[in-house]
Amino acid sequence: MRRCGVLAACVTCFGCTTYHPTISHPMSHAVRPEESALECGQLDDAILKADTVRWVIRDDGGTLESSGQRAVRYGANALFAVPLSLILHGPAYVHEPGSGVLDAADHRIVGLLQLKRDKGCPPAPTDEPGMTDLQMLEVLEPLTSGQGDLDREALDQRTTLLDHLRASPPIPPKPAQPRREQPDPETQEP
Amino acid sequence: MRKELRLVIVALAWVCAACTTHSYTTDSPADTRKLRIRAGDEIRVVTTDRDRISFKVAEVRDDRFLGVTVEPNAKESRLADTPVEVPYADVAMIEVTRFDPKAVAAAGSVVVFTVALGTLVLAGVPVVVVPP
Repeated sequence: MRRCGVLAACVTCFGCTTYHPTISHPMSHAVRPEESALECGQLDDAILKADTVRWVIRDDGGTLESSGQRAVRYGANALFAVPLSLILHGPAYVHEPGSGVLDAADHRIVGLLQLKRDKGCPPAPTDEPGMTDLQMLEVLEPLTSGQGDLDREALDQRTTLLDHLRASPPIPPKPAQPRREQPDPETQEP
Repeated sequence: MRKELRLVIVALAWVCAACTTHSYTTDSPADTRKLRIRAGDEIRVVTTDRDRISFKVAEVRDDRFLGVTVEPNAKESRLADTPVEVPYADVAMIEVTRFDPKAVAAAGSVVVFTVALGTLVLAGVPVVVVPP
């Protein structure tokens, strides 16, 4: 009985992910050949929509997974999923942390930014201080290349940059308040 | 009584299986139109200004949906029964739940097949002996 409790606790901790989709996340498609005909404004709209999809995944806890982490997850599931599911009378396995859908969204955004650069569209501001979206693209390109495997640090850098792709809306100016006249201490009567 | 209850459970399972939920990303208003959303459909959308809304479609116009919000899902801020207007151009993600006749047929085939297989297994497969 005690052993079961320990195993259940292990599974709960091990299988604990922060990824809980509140809406089913569709897999973003890669940039299509026909999208190369889009105008600058249409490209900005497409980037805005792809960024929204990515934001939903991130807001629901999605994270990128390195190949090492994926291998550990597969290994753990292969070894423990069946015995633990039998012990706990229900499915017990380590869930995918939304890496697939997030990676697809990242690649779509980078693809659309590349199209924007190739068309000579004007850059847009981002939430990263002193960086436009096209400058961000220069940093993102090596971090999204299909060749080789990215380590945890590179994946984190890519995630942080893309989290800041959209510029925060400017803070609306506060309505001017009528100035209160400060009483002049010299003219003030005691 | 027990048999009737079993039939009700099978019928309910069938109907539930026929309600399908699909999620889409829409790159343009034309993509949203292609989804053929109808009045009465219950949909969830995420707009480009990062607003999550669940609502029942009351009217489908050329460029927008008109509807009334339903019970809010997680991370949704609008209260139920609030009128909403969502232009297609603002829709980034859309999830549609609807009663699908094709799914009814598919689920029905699965139910019939399972019941037939179960009956054969429980009652025994008839063996026909062919004389030499």
